[in-house]
Amino acid sequence: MLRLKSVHTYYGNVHALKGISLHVRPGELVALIGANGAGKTTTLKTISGLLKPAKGTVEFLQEDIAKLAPNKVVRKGISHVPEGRQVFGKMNVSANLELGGYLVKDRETIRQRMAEVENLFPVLGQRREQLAGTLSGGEQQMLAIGRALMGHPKVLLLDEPSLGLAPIVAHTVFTSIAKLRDEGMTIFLVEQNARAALNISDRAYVIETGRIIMEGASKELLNHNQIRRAYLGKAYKEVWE
Amino acid sequence: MKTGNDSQGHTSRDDLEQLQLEQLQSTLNRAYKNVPFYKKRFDDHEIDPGAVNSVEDLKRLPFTTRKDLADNYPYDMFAVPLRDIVRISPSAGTTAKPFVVGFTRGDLKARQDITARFLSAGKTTDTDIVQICLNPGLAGWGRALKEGAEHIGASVMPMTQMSTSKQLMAMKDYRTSVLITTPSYAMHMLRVMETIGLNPDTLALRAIFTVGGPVPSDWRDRLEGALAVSLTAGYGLSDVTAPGIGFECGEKTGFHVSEDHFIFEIVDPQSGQPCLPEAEGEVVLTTLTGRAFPLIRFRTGDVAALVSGTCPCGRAFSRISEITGSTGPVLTVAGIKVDPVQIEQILQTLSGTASPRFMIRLYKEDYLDVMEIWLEMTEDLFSDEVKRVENDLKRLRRRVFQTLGLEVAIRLVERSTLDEADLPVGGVKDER
Repeated sequence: MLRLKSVHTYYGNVHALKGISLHVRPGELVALIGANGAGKTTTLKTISGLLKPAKGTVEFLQEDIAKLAPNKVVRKGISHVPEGRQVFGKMNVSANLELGGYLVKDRETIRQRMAEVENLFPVLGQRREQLAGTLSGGEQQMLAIGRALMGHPKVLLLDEPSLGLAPIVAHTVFTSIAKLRDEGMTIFLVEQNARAALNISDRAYVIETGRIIMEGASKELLNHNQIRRAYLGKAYKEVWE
Repeated sequence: MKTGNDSQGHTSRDDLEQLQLEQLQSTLNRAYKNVPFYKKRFDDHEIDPGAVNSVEDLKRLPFTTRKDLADNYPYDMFAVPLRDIVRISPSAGTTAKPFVVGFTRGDLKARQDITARFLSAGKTTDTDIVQICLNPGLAGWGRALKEGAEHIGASVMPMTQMSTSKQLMAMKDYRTSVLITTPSYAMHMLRVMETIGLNPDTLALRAIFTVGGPVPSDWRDRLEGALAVSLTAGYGLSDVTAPGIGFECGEKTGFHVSEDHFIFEIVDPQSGQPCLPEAEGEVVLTTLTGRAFPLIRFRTGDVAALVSGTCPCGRAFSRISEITGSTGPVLTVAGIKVDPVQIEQILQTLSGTASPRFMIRLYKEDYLDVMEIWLEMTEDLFSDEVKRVENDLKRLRRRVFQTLGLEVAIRLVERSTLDEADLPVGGVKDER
């Protein structure tokens, strides 16, 4: 469904992505894990059209979308939930969600989709009238995801949904993401929290300084010693090298 | 009925190529980062792994040879710390030094999937009784096949050293339905069955899987006919890969290579340039899923051709032909890779510093590969005591067996006999 082939992206003069290839099949939850600055967000921005790759292709449903403007990419069905829970703080929850459905003209459809979102995140239903800025971090993250879902995307791109959340709240967010996948949504998740990401995803890629250094079934990666040492805090006392 | 690995390669070519690109890039990145040998090789050729933007670009990378593996003996080709290695598999190698292949837990799982896929392609199921008959030189393969068959859920009789008639007795009494062996040993078993008067109708045998050498078509016909079985051949490298990384499907029109674990190329052995489809050349392998022991453009020494066109079986995996020979001096004897240099080194242990004059004769006896070493009788060797000479030869034979896992015969000959053969020192007379 989504395919990157040897994508090279520059941030100014910095060669941020050095030949990234990955794919996401329909209905899959695929994670991209790696440390800060490894190129995770750059990868997402390249997919959603915020950055243009210097080389390589980004294929979505067999079409190269690498040259498309971000708004065109959204219309193709790719919704990007950026990191940092960028909700409109001065607007209430309902208004935030409605904004997510800006491509939909029909009121009835909007109401219906809002009900779907509230079904997934019941807490949003309870806080319909509350200003988004007064929500907790976890609730804001759910709202940001909910807002993206209002456009009925074909693929959801999630950038660090657990960032800055208390572990228990992050857990709730991850549980909702897994539920979303179980309902058939295709998700590409970027995370620093490798353990949580590997626990809920089907497959994963590990990125290091702009290169994919490992890929495979998430279950396999969870048990992989190199991953455990580098990302899961399972360091050995003595590392034989 | 469970038939082992359900992933038989029935995927689209397009999906497979995307997967290969991803796996290739991450393999190169890992090898460059973790294996000093590859880092140096890439740097020497001024190649950044990030410059490999397609599977085609692989052709720009340098080859890896068996000599490279031996030069980095024992652990310098490993891409993971030793503590991540759960199995160490020594290989006699084909040069002065042996080499060592390491496996992580994940690598063993991958190898198990590959062998299970090979066995499933020939319809091995969890109701089968599998008997593995391989010589000690193929012990690593014996383990891989055992694990693959167990993964399918079959009952497995692992490799055991016993005489052919004992093997046949076991086959009959235990109601073996699947036999895994080399083509020559299968033929040998058939011959012994005839000799001892064992009626094939009394066997439960249903399928034979062969590894470790080509299957001449008349052998296949004889085995399938006489034993009423289906024969499925597999391809692999006994020193570095699992058996059955190339496997026959029901069509039996060459070996489908498990291209989700390996990329193969066929290159001109002299120029290193890619061969045209259907043209014979050297098989070059790159591992895609190996974590511990990545091989990048490994020159196998095996000669085969790419079989073009898609297979009616529907698998996306491309096919290579039967192995028709080898490049360079490396011989395949009973499935085991042997370099005449190895024999020379063993003979030298007796002759001291002097280079022994010898030749190797290969022939078949009751379908089995026999290696005979003709060693020139010299003053050093000569002794009035026949016993001493006999002991010396016995010691040499044992050394060869310990190094290669291969039983050989050693004949002492006159200088003139070697002269008549008109071969260079260590030359090979292959009468097979």
